[in-house]
Amino acid sequence: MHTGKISYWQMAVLFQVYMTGSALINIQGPMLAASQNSAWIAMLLANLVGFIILYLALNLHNEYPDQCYVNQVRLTVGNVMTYLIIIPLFLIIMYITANIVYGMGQYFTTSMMRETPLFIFHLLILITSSLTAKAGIEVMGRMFHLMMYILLFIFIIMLILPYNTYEITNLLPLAPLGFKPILHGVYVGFGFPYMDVLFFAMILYLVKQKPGQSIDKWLYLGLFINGIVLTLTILCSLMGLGPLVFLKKFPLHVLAQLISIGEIVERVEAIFGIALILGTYMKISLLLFILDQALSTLFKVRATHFIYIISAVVLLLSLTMYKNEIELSESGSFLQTPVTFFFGFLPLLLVVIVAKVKKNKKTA
Amino acid sequence: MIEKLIIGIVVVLLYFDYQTLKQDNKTKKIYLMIAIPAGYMLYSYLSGRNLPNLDEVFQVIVGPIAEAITSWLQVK
Repeated sequence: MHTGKISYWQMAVLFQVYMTGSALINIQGPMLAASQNSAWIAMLLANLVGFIILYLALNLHNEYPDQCYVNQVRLTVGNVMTYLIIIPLFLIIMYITANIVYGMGQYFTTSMMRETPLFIFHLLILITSSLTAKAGIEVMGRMFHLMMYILLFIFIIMLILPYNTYEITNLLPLAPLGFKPILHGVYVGFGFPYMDVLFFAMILYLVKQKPGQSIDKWLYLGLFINGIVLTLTILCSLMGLGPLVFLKKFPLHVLAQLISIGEIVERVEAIFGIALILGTYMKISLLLFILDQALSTLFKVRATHFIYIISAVVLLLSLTMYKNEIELSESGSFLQTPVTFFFGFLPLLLVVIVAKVKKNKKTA
Repeated sequence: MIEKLIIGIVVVLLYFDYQTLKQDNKTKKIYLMIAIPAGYMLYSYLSGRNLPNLDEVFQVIVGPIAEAITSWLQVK
């Protein structure tokens, strides 16, 4: 297990950048494709599902505050079951990390740097992220603090500057196809980004405990802010682009292209690219750290030894899993939800129930 | 060509990373255990064969369920 400790505020910042980081760029396209005009409602409902996952994860954390998720599972359901639960979860986290890496590479090769080979983006982001993850949680806690402000600043600028393109009537009709598209949006949002809450439980024990205080309210607040931020991006995309938004993979990028203020501030989509790199970099760094944490705790060996080899596997996964961007979006919005539900959510639910039963037996 | 050269450099760096484990045999074994699928994917990538990968495994396991759910939502 890792040894560094960070404060409540730093953990809240990490949680915020982890949840918002890559989702800020990647979630609008799939959500709008699934739910159309009601995508923002679906986003809020998916956020609500995120609260359930966070509640379960925090339940376990409060039961075993000094242990990571792997050890929590081990203490609750035994060693053999831990292997059965954690190995598929480890594969899922790798699969999701590879998807995020591919998403970033795909954005650049389709919109800004068309001639550059995909593997260059994948390689560079993974080298940087693996070095950051290797530096440890304390370094990430300090560094991502500043980056979160930059990311949020870019996000606010991106949403405010195209104000003259916003048409509130573009939000109507609200749900022309009924409730099922909204449910489909929730289905997409459950797999990404809200199931990622569980993976974060792997590093919750690294917070410096203070008597009489709890991390819970910080994380609930962080998740709430995340829901608001993502919903705002969808609302602004809908208002700014109208029906055109459903055809775009990265609506915020198109929205940034529309910015034009006095012929001075124009074509600022490169700033959007910076936000994408920042968000993806922070998310991947944390995911690599979480993967190393899961593996080293599962096999009871010293931490941080596997970060580079895991990064290499993620790199190769991102290069070999998909032949084109259609396969990625198919995988992200079609396959990711049931995979994370069956191998992430159900085991978590089982472990929480067993932990509760054990606790009740102890007190009885 | 440059792509293969870069991948070659990455492999050499990973070998050095492996060497830093020294006498820690258990960690070395786990490291190699992860390196095996990496080798498989490297072969798949360099040979251009597109061998079955993790997403296809997941597709086999949960694909029918995902199909049923999205069909019910009448969106796929």
